[in-house]
Amino acid sequence: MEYSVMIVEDQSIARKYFEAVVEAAPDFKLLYSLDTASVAYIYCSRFPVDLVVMDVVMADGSNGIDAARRIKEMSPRTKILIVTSMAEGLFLTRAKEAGADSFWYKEDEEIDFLTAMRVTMEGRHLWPEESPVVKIGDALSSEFTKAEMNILRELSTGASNQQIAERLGIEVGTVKSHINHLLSKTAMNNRTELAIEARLKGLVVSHS
Amino acid sequence: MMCFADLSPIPQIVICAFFVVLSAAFLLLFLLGLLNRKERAWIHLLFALPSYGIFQLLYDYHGSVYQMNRVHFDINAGDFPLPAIGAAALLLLLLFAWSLSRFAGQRDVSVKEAVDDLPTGICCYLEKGRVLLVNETMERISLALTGRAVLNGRELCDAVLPKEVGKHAAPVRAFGRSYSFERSGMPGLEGVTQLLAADVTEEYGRLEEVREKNRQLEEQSRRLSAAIGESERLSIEKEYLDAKIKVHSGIGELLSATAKVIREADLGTSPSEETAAGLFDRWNRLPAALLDVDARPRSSYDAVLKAAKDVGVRIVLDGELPEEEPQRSVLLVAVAECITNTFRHAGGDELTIRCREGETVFTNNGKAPEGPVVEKGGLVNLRRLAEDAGAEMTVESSPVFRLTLRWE
Repeated sequence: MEYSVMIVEDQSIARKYFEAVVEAAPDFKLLYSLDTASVAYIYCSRFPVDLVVMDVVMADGSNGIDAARRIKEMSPRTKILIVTSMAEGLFLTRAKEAGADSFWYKEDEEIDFLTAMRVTMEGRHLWPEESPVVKIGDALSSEFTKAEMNILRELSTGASNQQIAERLGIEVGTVKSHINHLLSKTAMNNRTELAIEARLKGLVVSHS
Repeated sequence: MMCFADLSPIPQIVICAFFVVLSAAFLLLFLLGLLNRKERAWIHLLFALPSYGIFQLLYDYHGSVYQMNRVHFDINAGDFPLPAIGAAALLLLLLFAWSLSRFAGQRDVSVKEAVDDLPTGICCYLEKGRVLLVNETMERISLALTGRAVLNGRELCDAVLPKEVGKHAAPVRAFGRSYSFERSGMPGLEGVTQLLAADVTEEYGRLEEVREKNRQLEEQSRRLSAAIGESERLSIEKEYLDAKIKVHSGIGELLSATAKVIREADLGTSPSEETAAGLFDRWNRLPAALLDVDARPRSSYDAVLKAAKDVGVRIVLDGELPEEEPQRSVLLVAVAECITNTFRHAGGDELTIRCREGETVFTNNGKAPEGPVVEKGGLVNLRRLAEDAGAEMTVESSPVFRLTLRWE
């Protein structure tokens, strides 16, 4: 059986790599390859797509997880494989909530892309237990607590302590305490440096 | 006088004493009038002097009668030094009056000085601006702000207070200090307006400090937001570069392996079939397009147009889609939504977009909706986006599907 695949990936290198793998595989055929998630559902509502390979963060601001949710609502039989290289842990949770079938990190050394597609089409779910670990200053992202990660996410939007406290429903003092712990763990000089480093490493993403 | 002569000495003395007291009373009233700056105080003096004159006349008469009838008199008024007492009393009262008037004068000067020394500027004026009272501080403020002394209270008010009634005036700087002006009526003084200039230099300084800190915070926040936006772009760029490095590493590794096989072949050692097949396979799996690493995503509008073409919907654009945000983003979502509606619900193949000033209308060919359009999924999302962007969205189902977005 040959499955029709649609690739949604904004990076030309990754997209062309995926295209090459799909075209080389006898059990898959490439239907369309898009560089934005914003129109992916149009194709899925017009053509019988068996598998959508969907990146999460797109350069035009569209979001692969939102697009996946829309496609699943419209066409539940279409399987969706989320692919990303961002270490943002919330992507895993949100992709699952959106109804995605599998989740594959582009840096995964154990499972290659073709295997990830085949596993998904067999009806199994490929789901990493945790997001990749990245180094932020002197600390590994795995050393951050869940609360600290939540603070870091808000911090990276440029929010003040007061705004973070309001958004998370906690005391301003608690926010300050978490930020101090983060600065202490990472040995970063200030919150701006910390926020930008976390963004650059993909640990927190605005689309998250 | 004859009547007075008929009286016995005691009543005569009583009458004399009455006039002395009367004279003293008028003199006292005169002094009180002076003290209170009554314009008609001198009238009391007109009464005081004749009273004393009458007393002196009667007293002299009584003294002459006594001299003539010494044997008949048991008592002599001359025994009582009434003129001396009266004169002394008058002298004392005059001294008292002089000291009181001096004190009063001093009091007026002191009050004026105290008012002048107040750090608050004061100016009281009548309806047309005639100044009743102005202190030194207000004069200095007026000189600093208008270049002249306070000649008209209303003009000063117009110069320092905002025109709009009720609008709070910002503190005004004058000779290195900050003043906050307030105009009010004066209780109990109809038609008198009071303009006060409170010295708020310290408070204003602190307010300015807070404003400066807020401005710095806003600037920091703006720079942080810009840096975060930039970091977002950089993180995407980094992901792209990481992929590029990975591809280049793969190509380098493949080239090395191929070069090794060629070198070995030159030396007479042919590669095994498995090695050769593996190399061919790896080269075949490396598409030339993979080297096109500088390709960039198309614009969102181009992506929508391509999607329309791919799904077989022709777009007829009457006018131009706005370039400014957020209108453009909302309209692109609307175009995508209407493309889906055209082929999916109407079975059509043409979407018409009519753009006019502040209004964009989407219609399509194909069959009209069978009933009122129930908004769900994409339309619900579009309405939320549109309303968040300040647009009004209307969806009509008859005679044809028609979606309108209006901006004020």
